[in-house]
Amino acid sequence: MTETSKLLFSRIKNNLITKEVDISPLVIFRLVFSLLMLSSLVRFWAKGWIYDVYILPTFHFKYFGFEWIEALGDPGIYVLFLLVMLSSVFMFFGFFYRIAAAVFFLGFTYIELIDKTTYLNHYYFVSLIAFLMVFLPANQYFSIDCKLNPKLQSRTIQAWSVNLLKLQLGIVYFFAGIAKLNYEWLVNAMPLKIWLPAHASKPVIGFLFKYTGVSYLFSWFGALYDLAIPFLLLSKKFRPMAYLLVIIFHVLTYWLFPIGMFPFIMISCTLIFFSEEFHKNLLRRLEVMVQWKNKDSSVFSTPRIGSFGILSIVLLVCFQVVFPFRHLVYTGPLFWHEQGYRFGWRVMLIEKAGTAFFYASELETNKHFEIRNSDYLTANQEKMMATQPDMILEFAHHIADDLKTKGWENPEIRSEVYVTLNGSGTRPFIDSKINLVSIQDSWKEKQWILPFEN
Amino acid sequence: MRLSLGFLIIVLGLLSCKKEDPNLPELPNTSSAFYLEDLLKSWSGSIIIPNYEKYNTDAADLKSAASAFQSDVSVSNLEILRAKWKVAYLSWQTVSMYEFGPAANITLRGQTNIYPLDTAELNGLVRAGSTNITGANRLDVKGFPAIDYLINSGSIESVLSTFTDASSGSNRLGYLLEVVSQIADNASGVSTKWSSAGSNYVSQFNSAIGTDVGSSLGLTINALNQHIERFLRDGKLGIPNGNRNFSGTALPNHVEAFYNGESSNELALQNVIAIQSLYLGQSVDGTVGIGLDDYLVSLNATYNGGSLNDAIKNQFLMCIETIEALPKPLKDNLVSNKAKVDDAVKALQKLVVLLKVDVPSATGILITYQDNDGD
Repeated sequence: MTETSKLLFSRIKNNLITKEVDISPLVIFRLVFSLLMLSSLVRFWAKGWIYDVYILPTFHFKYFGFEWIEALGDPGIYVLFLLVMLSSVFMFFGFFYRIAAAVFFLGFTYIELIDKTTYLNHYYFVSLIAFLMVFLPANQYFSIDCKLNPKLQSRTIQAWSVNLLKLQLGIVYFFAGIAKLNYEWLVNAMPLKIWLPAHASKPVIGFLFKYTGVSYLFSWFGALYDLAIPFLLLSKKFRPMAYLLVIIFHVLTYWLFPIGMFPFIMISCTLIFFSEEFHKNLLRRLEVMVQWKNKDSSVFSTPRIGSFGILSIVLLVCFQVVFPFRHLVYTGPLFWHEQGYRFGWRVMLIEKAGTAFFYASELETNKHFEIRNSDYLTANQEKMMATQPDMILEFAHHIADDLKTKGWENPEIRSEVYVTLNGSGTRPFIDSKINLVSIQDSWKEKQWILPFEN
Repeated sequence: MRLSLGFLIIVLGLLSCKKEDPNLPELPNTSSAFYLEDLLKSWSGSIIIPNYEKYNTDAADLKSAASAFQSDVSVSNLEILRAKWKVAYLSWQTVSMYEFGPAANITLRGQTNIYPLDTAELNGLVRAGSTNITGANRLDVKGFPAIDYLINSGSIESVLSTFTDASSGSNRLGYLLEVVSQIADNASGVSTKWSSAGSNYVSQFNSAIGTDVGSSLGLTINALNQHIERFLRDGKLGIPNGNRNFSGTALPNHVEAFYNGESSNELALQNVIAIQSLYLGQSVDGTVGIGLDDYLVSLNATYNGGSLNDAIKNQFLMCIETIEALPKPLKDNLVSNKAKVDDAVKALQKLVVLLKVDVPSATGILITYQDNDGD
């Protein structure tokens, strides 16, 4: 290691990692995050989605490597939801905090791993944040844990805790921005050129959406926003303007697109970028409001991070920087074949729709017929499956397994799938001559996906 | 200050692209919100409601003919009844796909046209003198298929004799009347619910503009797609063709209007033409108003280099052509002319792809079969 790099490393370490800072931002983040999670879960339950998504389907699309995850059924899945909700309450109060955070992370992630159909980037984001929360000392002030164990209480923490959350949020935005740097988005203003005119009947500014120029403006603004917002939020000078942009951007997307809680999660979580003073004031007000009294504690200890901790953070960040780019090892347009699409912060990026017809046949017995997809899948599963090759393959295997229980010995499944991408017009998606049962899913390139351009 | 400058730039940007952009879609002088409203008004006012009214009238005529037949069981009255049955059945094909709103509330399609008929259960009910045809387990013993069985299975004389039979004749008449009355009541119920003079569903329909879930455009397209895929492609042709059973063998008794036989082709054709009329905005009297075609044209929707509207219009013609090419009666030609049936099924399948995938994707109409979040 040269002298300059040594110097640089120790600067980073002293300023961004080990520097002692006030704990308030972390405490506020704990309160905000656990409240948001609780309300997200309550909303999910109240809308009847636990039933629709985890009980109604007779089949679930598993993640590669997580085939062992079970849907739990009724009442198991409700019990799991209750447990996760309860853990968010415990997190909020800082009561058995670390266990609560671990239960929340494991429970929430388990639920998300049950079915690929409902994959959302923001669920992945929640899992990542929840994972970090397990290791952050967010309960060392203004918590029941502190009441029970005054030695735990600390007014200061090392800066890495807060900076790690900022980095995680920054990664989400920045990578979402990188994902938008593609020809379709920037040069053709797709898919906004399709999505925005559909909202021309919205009040006040709706009439603007039918103009192509507005789609370009939104595309470019969206890409610039995602790329720049982490840096603008970091800068003291631009922060108020940046936060206003955060609010405008997310409220606008909430108004236009069905993206659920995500806008509110981002609006709330980006508060972490605000100054120590801001958080101190907020926490002081909260303390007054609930008439909080700190336990006297003679020993205030700032929790310290070790080299193992630093190494783990570096590895986690490296993973997150590399994993979204795994699509580069596959040939052809990513938006068409979707190999390496998930877990890459590709949010509201393409307009893709399709429909799939499956045919079962058996050579020996001369049986052949067309599958009715709705016999196996909910309407939503069917819709999501029709544009994603790994789900098409998984479904074909499921049909074959089912036919085997009905006396078939060598069922062959072929599919005729039509997909349109960004208004291209439907075209064949999967090689209809291939018996999908003969193919096993893997990281290898899926040769049976037909090319986008014929 | 910096902030207001930023806003100014955005506002100026918005205003400037209004003038400069050469790719402005060719829309009428009104904003596109009004445009969608015009489409909905055209659909409800010139197509959906007039067709329901016509169906209501034809169903009432059918009921009168059945009553006349009940009071005088004669060859001439049976002939009239058969003719009225066919008229009403054809009329039904012009409204069967609107299974949303008032029709969905009473599951009109299930109440009116489930086939194949469960003849054993129907005969059991007739023998027992029961006319209880309500409830979910009685869907396959009523509607047009039940009338078809009661009045079309055999020559005029043999059918007549089943109604004059000393032991079960009057039961059979009573059953027939119950089935016909239910069809007429449902027709008038749904027609009234749509009408502005009745429950005025039409105002709700016309005002739910936009493309979101629950918008009238979304509802109509969704209903249309489900109908074409399951009830037209599968129900009228695919299932009789054996596409859905393991062995792939034809199932002649699964055709629509099996006992009449001759009408199956005509009924399918009528259904396609009715859907085409909705697409083109063609009213009952033949005048062409605003349809989905105009909306797609205004959005410059493309299909693999060409116009999506052209692709869809051609596909409708292809469907009509292949259905017209099917020899009559369909049930006797499923095996001997399998290639022709396959052609018609394929043509309808391509129409399904165009309407179910291309149209929503090009228009941004949200087709979510289930309320959920996306990203």
